[in-house]
Amino acid sequence: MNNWKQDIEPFLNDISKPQRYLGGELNEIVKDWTAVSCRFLFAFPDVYEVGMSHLGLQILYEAVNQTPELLMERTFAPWTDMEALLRRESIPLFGLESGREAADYDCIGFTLQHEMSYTNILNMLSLGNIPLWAAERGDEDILVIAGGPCASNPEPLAPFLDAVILGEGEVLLPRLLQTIGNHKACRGGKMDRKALLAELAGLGGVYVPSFYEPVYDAAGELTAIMPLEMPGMERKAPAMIKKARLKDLDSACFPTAPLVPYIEVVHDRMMLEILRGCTRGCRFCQAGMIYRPVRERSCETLLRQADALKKHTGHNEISLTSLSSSDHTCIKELVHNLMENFEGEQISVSLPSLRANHFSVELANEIQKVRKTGFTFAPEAGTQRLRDVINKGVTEEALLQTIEHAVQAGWSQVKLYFMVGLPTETMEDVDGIAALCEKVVRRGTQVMKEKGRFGALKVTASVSNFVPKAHTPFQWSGQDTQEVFKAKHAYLRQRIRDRRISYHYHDPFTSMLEAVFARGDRRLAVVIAKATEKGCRFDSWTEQFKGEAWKTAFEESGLDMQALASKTFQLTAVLPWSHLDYGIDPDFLKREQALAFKETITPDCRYHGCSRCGICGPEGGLVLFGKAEDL
Amino acid sequence: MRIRLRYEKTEAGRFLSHLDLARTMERTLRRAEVPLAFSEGFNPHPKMSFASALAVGITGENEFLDVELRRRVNPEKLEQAIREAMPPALKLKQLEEIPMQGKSLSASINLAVYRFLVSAGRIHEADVRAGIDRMLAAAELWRQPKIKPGKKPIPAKEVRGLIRWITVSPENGWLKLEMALVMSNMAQLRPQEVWAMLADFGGFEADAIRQVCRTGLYIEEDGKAYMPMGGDHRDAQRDFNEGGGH
Repeated sequence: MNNWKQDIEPFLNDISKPQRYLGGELNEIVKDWTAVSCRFLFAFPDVYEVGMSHLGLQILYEAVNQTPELLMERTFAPWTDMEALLRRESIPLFGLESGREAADYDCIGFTLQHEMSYTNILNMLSLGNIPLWAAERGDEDILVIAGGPCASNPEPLAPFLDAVILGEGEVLLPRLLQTIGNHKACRGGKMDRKALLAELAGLGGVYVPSFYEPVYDAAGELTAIMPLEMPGMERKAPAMIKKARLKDLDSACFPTAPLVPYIEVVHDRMMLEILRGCTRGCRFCQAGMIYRPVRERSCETLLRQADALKKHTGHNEISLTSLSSSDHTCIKELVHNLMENFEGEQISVSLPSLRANHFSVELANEIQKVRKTGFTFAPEAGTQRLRDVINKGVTEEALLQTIEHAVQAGWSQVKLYFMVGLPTETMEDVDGIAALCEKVVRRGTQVMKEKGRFGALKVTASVSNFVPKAHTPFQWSGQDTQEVFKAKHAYLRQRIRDRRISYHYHDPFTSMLEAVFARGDRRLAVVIAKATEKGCRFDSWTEQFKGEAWKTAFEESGLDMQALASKTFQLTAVLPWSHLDYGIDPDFLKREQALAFKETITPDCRYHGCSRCGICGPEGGLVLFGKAEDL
Repeated sequence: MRIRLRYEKTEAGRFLSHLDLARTMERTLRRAEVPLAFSEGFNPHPKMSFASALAVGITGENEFLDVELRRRVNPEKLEQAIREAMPPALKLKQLEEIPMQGKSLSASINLAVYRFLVSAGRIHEADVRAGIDRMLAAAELWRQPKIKPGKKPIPAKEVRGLIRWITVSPENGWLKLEMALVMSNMAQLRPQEVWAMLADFGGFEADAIRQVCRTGLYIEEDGKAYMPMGGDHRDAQRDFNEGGGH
């Protein structure tokens, strides 16, 4: 078998950042191919620096490679110069560990982190000489799977995928790979593709798209997703596929000896996952729904893992990651102990996602004793009315008080995240964004004056566009049209005159594409294929984005992207993801939508009683190690 | 306590930039639980000083680094711990305690020896030899840096004094070139540049050079050259003197 890393050798001086393609990092695991039953290639559809910052990759690397009969290697989307080189020299996409070409592995798995990575997936399949469409792949071909947050509606990609992992990959991926290994071992190394897919569909959490047939009515509306008879099984595929769940995060595998890249990556630090899931219940937030229930790791476990991470990586920063880190019931104790253990060695602690409250400032103050970098909060909406609609349980006064505390503690920069286009939004709400920013600046600057400090509080307002997402209470809501988005941004741009506030906003066109794919069905697959053919790559990289190519791809497919993005679904409609069960009761989502329109909040179940979302049950529920107090 | 490390930047690490290397080294020392001393200020960083930055794409067989520690540690134990903590891109060769005060590495190093290969297919050893002889016989050598579009042109420099010696020998179907180049604050030559000038003198076309390696860094004083530290000190000296015949 060829090691393609040797073939690119002579060209490495001519391409940017060759280290991206060479592997060989600290803690890399290189296994003997002949000693394992299934070889898995984890494919990250973005560049190395982005992929290597992804904790999921490190978790799966550990979970798969700790199983003796399995092997996982990595590959990333080659940058455009490298792609040109690979195509010119007829060098296939290869794994960084062994240098083997993609097609040599038993299974290739893509992580679906966001919708704008889909063209990279098709491009990587093409570079790997893997037939693009699942239906074109035979018994000799590699199995193509996917997982990650966008797997919660994988339908636009369904025709390209043999199987999709729903839910928590560290539970399911090793089992799936073992099933492939056993299947092949029983057949002298050969695969009976259809039979294998039927076996996988029986695992629970594995969705095999080819076992389901979408049915549309004359108007083109989806009316059913029909499970088909599975080959050799004499029964149909399950009507609903339930996500795989980890009952206990505390005892789950965690990579304490992760890969340490040589080159600078986006998140160049230790990552310690302190809890999973969030029940704050923001109604636009997909992560807050699909990662339920909330499960914490204990302080003891975390301190032990932090110590091991330090020994095995040598990083000078540790990030306590989760969807909402200040919600961990033992966060104070954890941060205090980490600071005590790490301060002498100049290892800093960072908390990436904090809620806007006094307690967060206290925590941040503890970890940034000397250098006060910026403070970031996400009020998401400008008025109390709209914050109640989206269930963002933060009041204006609480936010202003938090700013006051932060400025008193020494901060002088604040970043605020907002969204425009949220359901029920009016121009009054849009204006509220500017008004809130002004209040923050005034209050902050006043405190600075009182404290005798020079200058003013600087506020960065970053405004993105609402994208309706599957499995959320806003999944039925249509997105604002391009014209409306543009008008709202134009309004804010001229409305924000205060030079202490800088205004940033997201391109509405990519937000529209995101909405189309986030709620799209299988009819979109051909669009992705066409866009890829037309050269679309790295669509989340502004300078690589080819809007015209996307427009043509939609036109040629006879699809209206604006209509798809701004479509409002009936509550009774069959949604493209209706057969995918993330443990959230559909009635809960409907109730939440109704409450949203009544501007009524649903408090966090950790502190105010069960909101009957349906996640807790025999398969597990809330796991907290300390006392739940809503601070 | 202050220590000096002699290490190798291996084949696996040749594409690391100097910044990548510094970060990789800091992490290595942290994994080895070296009690690093830190600078004062808002953003404390470990007190490490490298002898000389090595360009991307080049390996280094004998590179040097000084590190300040905040307390005394047994040097032998330290050496073992650091050796074991090294990633594939680096290899520790030697570690010694050095006096707290002393001239910095970057201020004392003034000579580097490079080695690289060129294809023996189209270029003949005799032509290279002739090129070397002619080039080193020249009283003056003018380097004209390439004019990059949109950038200010860099004035030409006289560089004959920056080349101490050059040798060529056959090696498994390749030609192996070695050269000692002076490192000064005023000007430095890259082996690629010397090769291009040499090709002009030899009347052949300069092919791509491969497996470029900085084999050693030296302190040259009173016509003698020695490494800042190292068991192959004498080898280096012999190399230096042999080549010095030109």
